[in-house]
Amino acid sequence: MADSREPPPLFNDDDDSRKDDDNDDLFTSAVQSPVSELTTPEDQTKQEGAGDPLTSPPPATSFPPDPSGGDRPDLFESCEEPSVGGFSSVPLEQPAEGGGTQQVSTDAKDPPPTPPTTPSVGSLVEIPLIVDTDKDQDLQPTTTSSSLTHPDFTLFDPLPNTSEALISSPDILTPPETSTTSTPTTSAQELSASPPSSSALLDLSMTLPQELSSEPPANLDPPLPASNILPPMGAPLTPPVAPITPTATPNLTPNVTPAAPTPVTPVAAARPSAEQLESESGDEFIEISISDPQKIGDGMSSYMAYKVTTKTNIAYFRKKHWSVTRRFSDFLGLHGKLVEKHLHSGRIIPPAPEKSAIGTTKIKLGSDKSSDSSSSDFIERRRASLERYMNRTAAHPTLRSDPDFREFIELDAELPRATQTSALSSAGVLRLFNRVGETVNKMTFKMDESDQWFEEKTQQIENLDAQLRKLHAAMEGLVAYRRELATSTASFAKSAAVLSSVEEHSALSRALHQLAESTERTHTIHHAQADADFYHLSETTKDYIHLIGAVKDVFHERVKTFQTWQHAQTMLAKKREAKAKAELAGRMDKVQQAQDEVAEWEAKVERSQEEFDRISRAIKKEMEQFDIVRVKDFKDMLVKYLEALMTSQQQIIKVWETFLPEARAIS
Amino acid sequence: MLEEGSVSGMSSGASTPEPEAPFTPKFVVRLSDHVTKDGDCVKFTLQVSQNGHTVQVLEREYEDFEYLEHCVTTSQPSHGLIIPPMPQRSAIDPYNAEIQSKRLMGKGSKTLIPDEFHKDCLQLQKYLELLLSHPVLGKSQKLHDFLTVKEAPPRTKVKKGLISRLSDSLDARKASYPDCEEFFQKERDWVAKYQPAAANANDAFSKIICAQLRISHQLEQMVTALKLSSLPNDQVHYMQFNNMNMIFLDCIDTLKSQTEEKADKEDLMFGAVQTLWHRYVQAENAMLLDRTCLMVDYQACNRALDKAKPNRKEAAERAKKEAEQAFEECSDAARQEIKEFQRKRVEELQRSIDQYAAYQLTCSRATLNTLTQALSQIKAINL
Repeated sequence: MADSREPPPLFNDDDDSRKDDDNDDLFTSAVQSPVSELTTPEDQTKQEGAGDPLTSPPPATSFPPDPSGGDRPDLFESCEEPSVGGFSSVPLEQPAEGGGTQQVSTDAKDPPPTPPTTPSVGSLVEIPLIVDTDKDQDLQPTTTSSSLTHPDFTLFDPLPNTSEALISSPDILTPPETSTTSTPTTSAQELSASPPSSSALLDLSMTLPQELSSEPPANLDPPLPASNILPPMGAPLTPPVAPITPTATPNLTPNVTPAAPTPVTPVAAARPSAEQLESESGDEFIEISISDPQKIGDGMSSYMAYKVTTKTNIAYFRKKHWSVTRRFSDFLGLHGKLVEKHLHSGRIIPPAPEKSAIGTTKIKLGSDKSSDSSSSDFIERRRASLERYMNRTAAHPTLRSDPDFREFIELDAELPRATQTSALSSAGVLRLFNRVGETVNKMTFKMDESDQWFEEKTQQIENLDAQLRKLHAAMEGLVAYRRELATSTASFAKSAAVLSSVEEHSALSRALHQLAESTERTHTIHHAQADADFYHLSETTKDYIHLIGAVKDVFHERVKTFQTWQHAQTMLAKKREAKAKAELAGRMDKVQQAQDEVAEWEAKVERSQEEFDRISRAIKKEMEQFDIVRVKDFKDMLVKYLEALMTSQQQIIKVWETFLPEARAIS
Repeated sequence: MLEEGSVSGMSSGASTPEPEAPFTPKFVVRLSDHVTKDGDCVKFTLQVSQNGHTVQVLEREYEDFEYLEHCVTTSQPSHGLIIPPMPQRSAIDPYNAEIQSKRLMGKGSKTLIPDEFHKDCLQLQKYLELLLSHPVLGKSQKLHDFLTVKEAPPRTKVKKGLISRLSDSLDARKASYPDCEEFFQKERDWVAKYQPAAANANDAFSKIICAQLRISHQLEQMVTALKLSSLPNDQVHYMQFNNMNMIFLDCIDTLKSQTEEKADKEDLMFGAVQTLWHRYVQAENAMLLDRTCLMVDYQACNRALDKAKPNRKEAAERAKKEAEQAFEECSDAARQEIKEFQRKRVEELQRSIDQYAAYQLTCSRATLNTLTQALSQIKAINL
C-alpha cells in the first residue's frame, strides 16, 4: 500500500492551473519576448490574473456539466476496488474513448477540495503503458508546437537537474538520459526544495506543461522532430509518478498533451463521489468497538492486544460484522499513516490515545493484571479511549475509506509491526526534534492573515483550547473529589458500624447500624458516579483538547503552505530582477536562463498559491464538519452525563427510602 | 436544633434532685444572625426572653463566653456534674481562616471559606441552652448576670497553667483504678470504648462534608469554564451549542448550590450534633475521672485511718469523713447526671440520624428534579 501515500487532490487542482496557464502563458510569453523591459510588470499582472481564476473557477462555459451524475458512486467504487486486489480496468479503457479536450477541462475547472479516496494498487502497473501509447498516438498530431520547444530546455541547464533528479528519485534513472533532463528539470529542483514526494509529484505535473506552452513563441531555434522527443519524455515522467500514486498518471497525460484527456474521467467522477460521501453520511453507519484487552507475552516485551469489532452497512466493506485483533502500537501506527497522508490536505485527523510509558510498564511488569486495580483501571481507560479514537476516525468519510484504515479494521492477520511509535525509539527522538522545530517555527513565523474567516477561526480555536483546558482541569478535580467522597463515605460507613457496635442503647445502635449500611450503599453509588464523571465528562473533554490540537496542526499546515508561497514569491521577484539586470547588461545567453527561471518560479508561485487556496478551502470544509460533530458530541455527552447523574440520584433516593421507615420503626 | 422547651421538660423529669419542682430554664436565648465583626473581635447578638417576652438584647464576644464558662464551672463545686462543652472557637483572622480553608478544600485550593457565623451562633446558642437547662448550672447567678446585664462582665484571660496541666496528667493515671461500683465501672468502660469510635466517625463525616464542599467548588469552576465557552451566535449549530451550554451550565450551577447547601446542612444537623455529643462524652469522662479521683482519695483516707496511730486517729477520721462525703455527693450527683445525659444523648443522636436520612432524601429528590428538567430541555434541542 506504499503507493497510496499521495493525496490525489493535488493533482486535480493542478489540472486547472495547467489548463488555464496554457492559454495565459502562451499569450504572455508571446508578448514578453520582444520587449524585455516590459515583461516583468506584464507578467506580474498576468500572474495575479491567473491566480484569481484558479481560486474561483473560470466561467460557466468551461465548467462542464458533471459527466456522470448518477453513476458517481459506481465510478468511485470502480476506482476503489483495485486497491483490494484486482487491476482497474476503467482507467485503461477510458483513454481509448478519447473524450477530447472538453473532458480535460471538466477536470481542470472543477475545484476539488476532496481527493479521490483511494488510489489503486493495480493501476500502478498499467500506467506507463497508458502514457506511452498516448504519447505515440495522440501527441504527435496535436501538440507539435509545444513539443518543438521542449528540447530547448535541455540545452539550458541539463547538468544540475540531472544530478538532482538522480538524488531525489532514482527511479528516473532508467529511462534514456536525454529525456530525464528534458522533462523533470523543474521537478527535480522542486524535489529538493520540498521533501515529500507528493509535492514533487505535483511539481512535475504543474511545471511541465507550463514550460512547454510558454516557451514556444520565444525560442524557435532548435528544431527537433517531435516524434523523437515525445516518447522518452513521457516515459521518464511516469515512473517517478507511478510508484507514488497511480491516480496521478491519468491526470498527467492530459497535461502533457490535451489530446489524451480520457483517463481523467474516472478521477473526476471519483472525486465528487468522495465529496458526496462526506456530506451524506447520514444513512451510513459504522460502529467500532474495542474489547477483550489481553496481555500477550511476558516481561518488557509483552504487549496488550485488543479485539476490534466493526459493525457497518457501508458497501465497500466486505462484511457487515467482523472483528480482528490489534495491538496498541498498531493504533498509533494507523494514526501516523493517516497523518502522513491526509494532514497536508487539510484534514483533521483524530488523535490517537497517548502512549503512557508508566502505565504500560506497570502492566508489563505486573505478574497478574487482574490483581492490581490501578492497572486494570488503566487498561479500561485505554480501551475506552481507543474505542473513541476509532469511532471518531471512522466517522470521517475520507478517513474511513482510506486503505490503511480499512486494512486496519478488516485484515484478519497481524499488521506489520509499527516501529515508529515507541517513545524511546530513534523515530521517537526524531519526532521530538521535528516537533521542537515546528514549535519554533510556529512561534517565530507570524502570518499576516488575509482571510478573515481564518483569522476568526484561529482565534476561536485558541480560545476554545484554553476554555477546554480549564474545563478539563475542573472536571479532573471533580472526579478526584467525587472519588474522595466515595472513599470517605466508605470510611464513615465503617466507623458508623463500629459506633453501632459500641453503642449500648439498643435502638440507637440499630439506627446506627442502618445508617452504616445505607452509607455503604451510597458509597458504591458515589463511586459509580465518579466513573461516570470521568468517562463521560473528563475524557470527552480531554479528547477534544487533543482534537483541537489536531485542528491546530491543520491550521499550521496551512501556514506552512503559505510560507512556501511567500518564499516562491520572493524568489520570483529575485529572478525577475536578475533577468532585468541581465537584459540591461545585454547578455542574451543569461537573459534566456533568467527567463527560464522566472517562468519556473512563476509556476511555483502559482502552484503554491493554488495549494494554499486548496488547503484553505479544505480546512473550511473540515471545520464546518468539525463544528457540527462537536455540537453533536457535546449533546451526547450532556445527555449521557445527566442520565448517569440521574441514575445515581435515583439510587440514592432508593437507599434512603428504605432506610427511613426502618429507622422510624426502631425509634 | 433542639426545642428549648422539650429539653428542659425532659431534664426536669429525672435529673433534678427535687422532683416535685421540675426545673425549667429561667431564660430562653436566641442568637440572632446579626453578627458584627471588627477585626478580630466578633460580637454576637443575644436575644434573651423570659416567659415569651424579650427581656434583654445584648452583645457578647466569644471571649465573654469563655469567661462565662470559667466562672460557671469554678464558682461552685462541680463534682459529679457533666459540664456542657463549650463550642470551639472558629477561625476569624485571615491566617487561621486560610489554614482552615486549606484543610477543608485541599492544599492546592486558593479559596478562602468565608466566615460562617451562623454555625457559631447555633453552637453558642446550643451551649447556652444546655447550660440553662442544666439543673445545677442553670441556677448559676453568673449565668443569669451574663444574660441580663447589658455590659459584658469584665473578664480576665483564662489560662490553664502548667501546674493544673501537671495535676491533670497525674489525675489521668488514676483512670485505670477499678471502680467500686459496677454502674460507674460500666460507664467508664463504655466511655473508653465510645470515645475513639465517635472520634473516628466524626472525622469520617467531616471528610464527607469536605469532599462535598470541594465538589461544589469544582462545579463552580466548571460553571466558570462553561460560561466562557459560548460561541458566536452566527450559525445554527453554534446557537444550539450555546443553548445546550446554557442549560447545562444552569444545571451545574444549581447542582453546585445544592451540593453546597447539602454539605452545610448535613454538617449542622448531623456533624455538629455528633461533635457536640462527642465532646459531651469527653466532659462526662472528665467528670468520671474527677469522681475516680475522689474515690481514690477516699480509699486512701480509709487506709490512712486503718493505719493511723491513736493520736492521729481523729484527724484521719475527719479526713475520711470529708472524703467520703465528697465522694458520696459526687456519686449521687453523677448517677443522676449520667442517666439524664445518656437519655438526652440517645434522643438527640437518634433524631439527628433521622433528620439526616430525611434530608438526604429531599436533597436527592431536588437534584433529580433539576437533572430531569435539564435533560428534557437538552433532549428537546434537535440537532
